[in-house]
Amino acid sequence: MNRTSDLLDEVIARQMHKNDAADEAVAARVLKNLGGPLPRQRHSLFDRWPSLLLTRDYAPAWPRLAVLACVALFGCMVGLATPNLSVRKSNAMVRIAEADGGSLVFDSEPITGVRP
Amino acid sequence: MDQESDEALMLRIARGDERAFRVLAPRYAVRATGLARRICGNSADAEEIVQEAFLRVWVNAPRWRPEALFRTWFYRIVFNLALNKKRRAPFDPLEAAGDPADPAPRADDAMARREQDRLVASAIAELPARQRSAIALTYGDELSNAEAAAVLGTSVSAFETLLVRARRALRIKLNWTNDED
Repeated sequence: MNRTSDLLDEVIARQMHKNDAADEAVAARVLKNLGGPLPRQRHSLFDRWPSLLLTRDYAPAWPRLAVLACVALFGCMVGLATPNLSVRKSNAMVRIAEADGGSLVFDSEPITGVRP
Repeated sequence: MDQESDEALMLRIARGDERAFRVLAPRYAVRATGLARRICGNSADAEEIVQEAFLRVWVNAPRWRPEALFRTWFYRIVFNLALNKKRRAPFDPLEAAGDPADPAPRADDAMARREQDRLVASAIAELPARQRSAIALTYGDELSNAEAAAVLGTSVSAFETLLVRARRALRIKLNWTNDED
């Protein structure tokens, strides 16, 4: 390996470790300061949920999603293909719409039996 | 509890176990102080940084996920705090002052070495922060390139480039040019 590189590595490493002894004194002070009461921890929002919600996997199964999508699509197709189904659903509505209200107002002719 | 891994202790700390915190903190206090000092250049700032880093470990422990080593995560906190820290003083002035002359027989060698160390310290201090951090992580904490890259939040190749640039810059500042680079 290049001699200059070796020398550079050596001097850099020496410089990096030059004040290691002083680091211990600093670290001791830090640990002493941390010996007192610690602040409140910050919990994730999901930590407050019931554990049941955290233990079960609620991720949707893709086959079920695919079936649901197919059924929805089928329903849409049925709905679009037969638009008048709801109109013919009940004959009662048709009878009421076609009913002649004149029978409630006018009496029939005595001879012809025709209502005006 | 003293034999437990860092990650196991973190799971305890996440549940509010202060005793686990006080077992884990001493494991990294000195190394974190050294890393912060090498990046910032002075021990006063390093002390504040390390204390803040440990408090963040405690406060955010419930959110920590064991996706990476605790050491990598913690060093990243120290690194980010060190980068954001405004320096009080450029670097410890005593390092530039040098030692008094030694009349011993091999004093010349020792004096030359001290002068060399002073020049290297000055050259490292002038490096950009990320290059200086790459030097500190590699030569000071002796981390692998992969772990050092994770601490800096960069790829391994980008970290290696950073290191090469730092070394090249140091050679130029020290007038140790190398034709192979």
